[in-house]
Amino acid sequence: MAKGGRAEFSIDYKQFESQLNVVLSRVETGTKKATSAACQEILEMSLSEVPRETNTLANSAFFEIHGKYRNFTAVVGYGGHGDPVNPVTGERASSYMVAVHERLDVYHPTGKAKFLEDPVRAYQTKYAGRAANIIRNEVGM
Amino acid sequence: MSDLLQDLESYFTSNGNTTKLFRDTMLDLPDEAIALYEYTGSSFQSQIAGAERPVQVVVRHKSATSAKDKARELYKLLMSDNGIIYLTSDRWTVASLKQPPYKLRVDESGRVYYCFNVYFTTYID
Repeated sequence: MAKGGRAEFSIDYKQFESQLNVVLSRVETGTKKATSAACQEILEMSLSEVPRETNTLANSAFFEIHGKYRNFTAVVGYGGHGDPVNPVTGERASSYMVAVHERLDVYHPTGKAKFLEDPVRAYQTKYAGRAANIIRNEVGM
Repeated sequence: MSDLLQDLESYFTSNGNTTKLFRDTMLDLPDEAIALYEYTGSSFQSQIAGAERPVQVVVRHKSATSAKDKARELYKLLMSDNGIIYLTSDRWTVASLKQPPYKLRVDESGRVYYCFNVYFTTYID
């Protein structure tokens, strides 16, 4: 009640805190979704650029998300899915993926070198906006 | 203004490099050689004609140790406290080294290749 020019009000901290926790939980869910969406988009771009002489490298592409509580780490890469063996050379994908990725002097009938680095760099400029949209949708703001 | 790779070659030469250096290619001879490759970069601000321009530095040598040492020598030439490197009197860059030199491969002749990547933030030529 206003008294002598003062305004009095009370805050229900428990309710405020529980509402804040709901929002934070939704931010966490949104962050994880945004991270997953980023990985999927990067991998999709990467798979359109990876050399595909035998498809071994493409078949080894993967992404993983680790962590929790608003702190996620994503790994996008090759050499996953059991690290398949190239049917022509008998080598595992992980044993030659770096050379294929880094050698800029090799001609590939399909795909190209830097098939992961380029998509990651291209996505960096988009990430903040995409993540903000996903988190905003999740929070409902 | 000259090409970025030319400026990088000049920088290495002015800092004592005498190994044969190729730009955007690497011929089979001599055995001891350096190659500079520029690959896909990105313009970040068209207003100032600046761009992030990635360059790969590859060193070849018959000896793995020599290849590694040479790659490290070039790598160190691109290190500075604030990242700013004057490649020539006309061109300054911000050099961001992406990883220390690593062994890329061994070719059919037993020659060893070491390489590293560096992103230059600099002018568009």
